[in-house]
Amino acid sequence: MSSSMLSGLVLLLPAILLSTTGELFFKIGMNRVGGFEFSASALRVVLPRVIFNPLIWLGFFGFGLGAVFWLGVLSRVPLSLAYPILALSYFVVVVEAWLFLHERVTLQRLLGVLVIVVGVVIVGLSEGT
Amino acid sequence: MLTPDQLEYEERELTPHETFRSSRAIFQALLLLIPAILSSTTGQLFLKMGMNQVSAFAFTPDAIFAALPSIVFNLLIWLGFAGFLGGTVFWLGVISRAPLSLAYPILAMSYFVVVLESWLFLGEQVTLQKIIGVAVIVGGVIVVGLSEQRK
Repeated sequence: MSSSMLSGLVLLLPAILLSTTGELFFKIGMNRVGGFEFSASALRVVLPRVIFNPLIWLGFFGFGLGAVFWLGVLSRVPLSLAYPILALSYFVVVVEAWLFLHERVTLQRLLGVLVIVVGVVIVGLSEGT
Repeated sequence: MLTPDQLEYEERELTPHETFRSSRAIFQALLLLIPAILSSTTGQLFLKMGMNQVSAFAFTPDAIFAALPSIVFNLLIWLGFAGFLGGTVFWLGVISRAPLSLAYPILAMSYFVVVLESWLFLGEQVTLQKIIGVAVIVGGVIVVGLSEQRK
C-alpha cells in the first residue's frame, strides 16, 4: 500500500466522525425544535425555528467539513475501497445516539445495522477497482 | 405553538394511552422517510444526468475551475440540489419525532432506490452482486425496523 493511500485511509476517520456528529447535532437541534407536522400552518411556525437553530447550522457545518475530508480521501484511495469503509457511518451514528442521546439500542438493532453495513460493502465492492 | 413539556424528555413510566400515541407518532414520522428518500435519490439522479452532460473532468484545481461554468449553469444540477434540500426538510421532520438510531439505518433504503432509479431512468446495468448487496441492506433495514419495541 502506497503512503498516499495510507494517508487517504487515515483521512476517512475525520470524514466519518464529522458527518456522523453533524447528524447528531441535527437530532439534538430537532429535539429542541420539537416534532413538526407537514401542514402549511405548522411549517410556517416550525421552519423559522429550524432555520435559526444554531445546532442545525452546526450539523450542516459538520457535513461540509466531513465532505472536504471525504474529497481528500477520494483523491488518494479508489472509490471501491473507500465507499465500503464509509458504510461504517451507519454503525457510528447508532453508537453515538446510544452514547450521547441515551437512545435505547437493543442488540437486535445493532445486528440489523451490521447487516446493512455488510450490504453496503457488497454494493461498494461490486464496482471493482 | 409547542408547549414546554412537549420539548422535554421525561424519564417516567408512560400511561398506556401515551405509549400508543408515542409509538404512533414514531410510525408517522417514519412515513416521512418515503418522501425524504425519494426526494434525495431523485436529486442524485438529476445530478448524475447533469454531470453526464458535463464531460468528465480530472480532479485538479485547473480542470475543476474550467468545468465550473458548465456545472453552475446546468439546470439539472440545480434540480439535484433542490432534491437534496427537499429531502433534508423531510429528514428533519423524521428525526423531530423518531429516534436517530432507528431512523438513520432505514435511510440505507436509498441504495435500493438509487440502484432502481439508475436502472429505470439511466439504463445503467445492474450486476448480480449489486442485487445481492441491496437485498442484504433491505434485510438489515427490516431487522432494524422490527427492533423498535411496541411498549
